[in-house]
Amino acid sequence: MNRLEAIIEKEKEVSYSQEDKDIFGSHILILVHQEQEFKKFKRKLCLGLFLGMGIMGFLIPHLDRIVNELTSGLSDAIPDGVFPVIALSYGLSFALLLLLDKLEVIFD
Amino acid sequence: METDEQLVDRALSGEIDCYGVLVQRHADYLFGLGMRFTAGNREFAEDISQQSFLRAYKYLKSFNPKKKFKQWLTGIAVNCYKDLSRKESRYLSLEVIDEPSHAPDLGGNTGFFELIKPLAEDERAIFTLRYVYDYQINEIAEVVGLKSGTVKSKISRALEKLR
Repeated sequence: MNRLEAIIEKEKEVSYSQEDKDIFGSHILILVHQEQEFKKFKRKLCLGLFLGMGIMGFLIPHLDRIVNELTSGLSDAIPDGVFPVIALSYGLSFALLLLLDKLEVIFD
Repeated sequence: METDEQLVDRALSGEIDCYGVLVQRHADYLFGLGMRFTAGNREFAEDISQQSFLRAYKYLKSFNPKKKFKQWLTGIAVNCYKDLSRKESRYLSLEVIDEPSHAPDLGGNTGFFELIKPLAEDERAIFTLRYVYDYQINEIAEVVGLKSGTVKSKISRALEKLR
């Protein structure tokens, strides 16, 4: 028992210190920030999915009618020739890309 | 100087830098706990410390300000130590392999590290808290979430092994 007590008493005198405490502290805060950002992202993703599902749920029963109206409207609007259609497609894609770029602002 | 509990309150209200102050204040303590629990495995001790601070932040809202932050943090560190021991076999291999290149980095009292090696994880933690940090039985019971009687029997078992 004396040997045990002696070892414990000696251990009590030892002090341990975390190396590079400043870096360690900053590292912890960075990880905490990352965790918070990930949580925010997950919340936004869930909200987006929820809204998306809602919109899809609303649109699917009327999909036939919407597609018919769109295609008939487009066929009237599009003149003969493939180039205007390509231009329209690229225009729509560009507009969608711009919208995606602004997505953060929309959610905030 | 602000108390730990005041800093927790401010961290919860969004002042994340206050949590940084808490990390700085308790980094040595948690690292020391880790070194003792792991019998001097520096890498393991650093991981325990890091995981404990991250987990503490995650559950900061559940901290009861009537209790001591350090004691609450100790409970989290014990749980992290047990979880990491179970999940990460690479830490255990450091204790088993005798090759010098794989030997744990013993930076302290190697006599103590050798002493506690025969103990199981929870026995190491309880023994260290009782005899090195002078925690009372009821405090250990609260920290590790066991009944006082169970803590007493674990300490007796640990002492039996060490004699």
